[in-house]
Amino acid sequence: MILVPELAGVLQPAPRKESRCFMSPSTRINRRQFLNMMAAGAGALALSACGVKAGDGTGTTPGGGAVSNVKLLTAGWPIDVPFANATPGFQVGYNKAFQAWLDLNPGVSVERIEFNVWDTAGLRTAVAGGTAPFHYPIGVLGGWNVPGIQASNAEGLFADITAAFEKHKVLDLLDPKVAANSSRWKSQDGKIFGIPYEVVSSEGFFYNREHLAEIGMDSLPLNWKWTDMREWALKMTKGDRKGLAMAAYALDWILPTYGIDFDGLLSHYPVPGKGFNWRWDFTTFVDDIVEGVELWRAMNFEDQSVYTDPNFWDYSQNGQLAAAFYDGRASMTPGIHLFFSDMAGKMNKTILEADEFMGFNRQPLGPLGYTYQLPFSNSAWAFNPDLNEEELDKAVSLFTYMLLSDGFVTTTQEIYNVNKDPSEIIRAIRWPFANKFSETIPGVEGSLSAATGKRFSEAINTIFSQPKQPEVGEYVPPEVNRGPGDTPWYDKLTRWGYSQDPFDVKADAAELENILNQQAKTFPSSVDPDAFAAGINKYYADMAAYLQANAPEFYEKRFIPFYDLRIKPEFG
Amino acid sequence: MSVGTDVIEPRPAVPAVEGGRTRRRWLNWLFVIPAILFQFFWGWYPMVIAIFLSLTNAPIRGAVTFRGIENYVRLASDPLVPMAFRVTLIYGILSIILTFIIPIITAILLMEMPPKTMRVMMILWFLPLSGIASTLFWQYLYNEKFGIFQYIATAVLGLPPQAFLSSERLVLFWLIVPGIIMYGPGLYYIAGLQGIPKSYYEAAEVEGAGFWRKIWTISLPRLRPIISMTLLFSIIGSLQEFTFPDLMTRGGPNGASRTVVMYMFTLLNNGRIGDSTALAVMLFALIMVFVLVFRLVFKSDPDV
Repeated sequence: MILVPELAGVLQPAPRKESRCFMSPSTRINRRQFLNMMAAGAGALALSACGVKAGDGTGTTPGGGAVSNVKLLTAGWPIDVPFANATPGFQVGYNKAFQAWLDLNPGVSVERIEFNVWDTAGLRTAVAGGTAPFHYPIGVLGGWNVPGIQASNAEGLFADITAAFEKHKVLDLLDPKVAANSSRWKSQDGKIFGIPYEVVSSEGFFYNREHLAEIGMDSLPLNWKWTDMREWALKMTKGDRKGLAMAAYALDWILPTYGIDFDGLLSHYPVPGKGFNWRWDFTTFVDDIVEGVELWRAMNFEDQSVYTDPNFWDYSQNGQLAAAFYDGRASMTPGIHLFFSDMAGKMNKTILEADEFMGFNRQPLGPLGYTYQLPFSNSAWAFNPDLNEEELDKAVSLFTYMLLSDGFVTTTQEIYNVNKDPSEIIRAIRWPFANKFSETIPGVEGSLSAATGKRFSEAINTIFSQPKQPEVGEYVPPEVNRGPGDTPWYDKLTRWGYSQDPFDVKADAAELENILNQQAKTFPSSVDPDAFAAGINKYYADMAAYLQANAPEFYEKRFIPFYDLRIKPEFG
Repeated sequence: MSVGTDVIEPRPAVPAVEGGRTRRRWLNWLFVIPAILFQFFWGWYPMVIAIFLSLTNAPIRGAVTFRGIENYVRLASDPLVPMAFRVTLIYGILSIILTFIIPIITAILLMEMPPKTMRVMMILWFLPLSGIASTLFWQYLYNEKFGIFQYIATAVLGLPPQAFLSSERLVLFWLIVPGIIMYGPGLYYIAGLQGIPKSYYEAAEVEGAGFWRKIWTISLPRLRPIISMTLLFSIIGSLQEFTFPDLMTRGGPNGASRTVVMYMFTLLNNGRIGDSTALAVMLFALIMVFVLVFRLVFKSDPDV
């Protein structure tokens, strides 16, 4: 959840393909990096806009008693020092909650440092050098995917907080769905290295309800396909208005629904015992790549139904794509559900007015009904591994108190008491929450989901309740030896998506395959081949079951041939 | 001492001279030491550490393991490495041709203009433009759909729509064009030209030298120290280019504008610190070769 409305810009990148960039926590120009950059800038801006001042600098503890003498350094978000000159509502509530925690924990002080936790290289350096703040987003070092996060944990970049987690009963404070989805904050051997902070939808599209009504539709169906997207975008294109505003990552959304991606289900396969455990195959299903590329280029160049450019990296609520959506120049725009309340603010609409204005849907499915997307994921925060036991205990206590339990309640009650409108809570803190207060909060009248807007909350609940497909990082041991990055993949996407020079997709796919496999041969593996093979067997068995139930056509026509070609010979 | 006398003045007492020299020597060191320390901690030490790290697994935390030349071997078989070096070299050559030579010519021509015009041009050249803001501005100028360059190409010149940054063949050229305007070594040249005594030109005119003759025999030789310095900086800077292509194209399309430093940064962000530092060492070696060749070939003394 976001505690400050302006911080809606400071978002956690969406949990799209979970195993993206297999062993690399962060790769070149993917959407996450862009989002991180966005967050880096927006964080400071937002906090200053909220009147946050490092000012007196510490939340010094009144009173004496058993003084702990612990000092926690924070980069300012989500746990910050109290607001100076707090305004009624969120800021006063936050200060009250913070002070209550300090009263319970004498001797602890929190100090604000100037540090950008969204900068991967900077955070990596700080963790290596022992100068990192007490908490930071796990995904920044872990590449926002399970294998990367688990590998980063295995490298010792996150503190083991198991004892404090249990002591403060964090599991009991989490929403059950969030608690059950632990691959981003719990290691395979059961150690806890993070605490979920936000529930994040996969990337999808916001759409203008009025424009959709013009083509005779009320809302976008959950199981729409990219071909539907093309048809409806074209229909909504009128004059200067485009049916779709789209970032330069279009093909990185389309091709994975064919199972083709840097770490796609069909385009990369395990080969245990041969150094690096994965190899790539972009040629077996190359016709699918051709089809996906042709679909996108037809939308962009033939239909002229897309507002896009190879340099449009920004698809946040603050970018040029969203701006086109706000002023009606585009009927659909990409985003994640967390943008919703901030988008409402950008358009000077109340939450409920925004619900009337726009809808949200997940990405379209591939032609055979497959989606690589997870229904949602948890954005978790890690703790500095240099903290001692007592410091970790206080850090976990503070984090938990402010975001998951009493402090959260105090803050939200204050917002409600000032405004007498639960939707103001939604404006301040992005919904749904990782804690148990997504539906009701003690002392706050009314339902939070109703305050979010009936249609939006229904759409989100529907998306979030879709079956979750297995993630390979949950099955195989973490690989700490980084493998090839996804740079070559993105190279081809930029060419296929926008290049106006002549190119041959099939030749490019073969080249891509060769580059990645050539790179892979030079990497060793840190994983025991037997453990890897055992995990892989289970992963593909579970994946087969998932696909049979949820994407049967894709299972028959793509997964089975892939399995027979790549998995059966190696794993029997 | 008067000229023509044989009187030799007594030398100052030796101890005084030694004392003065010693003091001067100390003073000299006093002033030089901060620079040496700065250079040591921010230049040589990181360089040595980078060379060391390039031979290890370079973990973020935990024990460092020596791996010999494994990282270098891996980079040698990575197809993206030669590609990045090729892009960097082409970028460097184009950059030097377009942003180094053109300002020399412009500066010389400006010197021939009325002082008022020259001053205005100098102000324009020296405008404190924000690099990032200018880059974003250029991104919009190049936009294929609504950029002004596309408008000029299609509506004014009647050309077919241009790909600009989407063209793999031309992306490097279009990336360098803003440098012609934004990069201002021309200011150094003008300053250098202003430092040449007018009497040189007057004497040359008396001897019947024309415009080109004066440039060739006076302006360019006298500018040689400045040219030498800026050329050296240009070579080093262009081989280390990162910010502008990263902001403009992120290395695309198809890696056609990905420089070595950009790839280095990608590896770093991928957690491959050993590989990244090995690539940095390779680039360092290449730059050193260029610098050494340059120092051997290019004489900066105008009177040589």
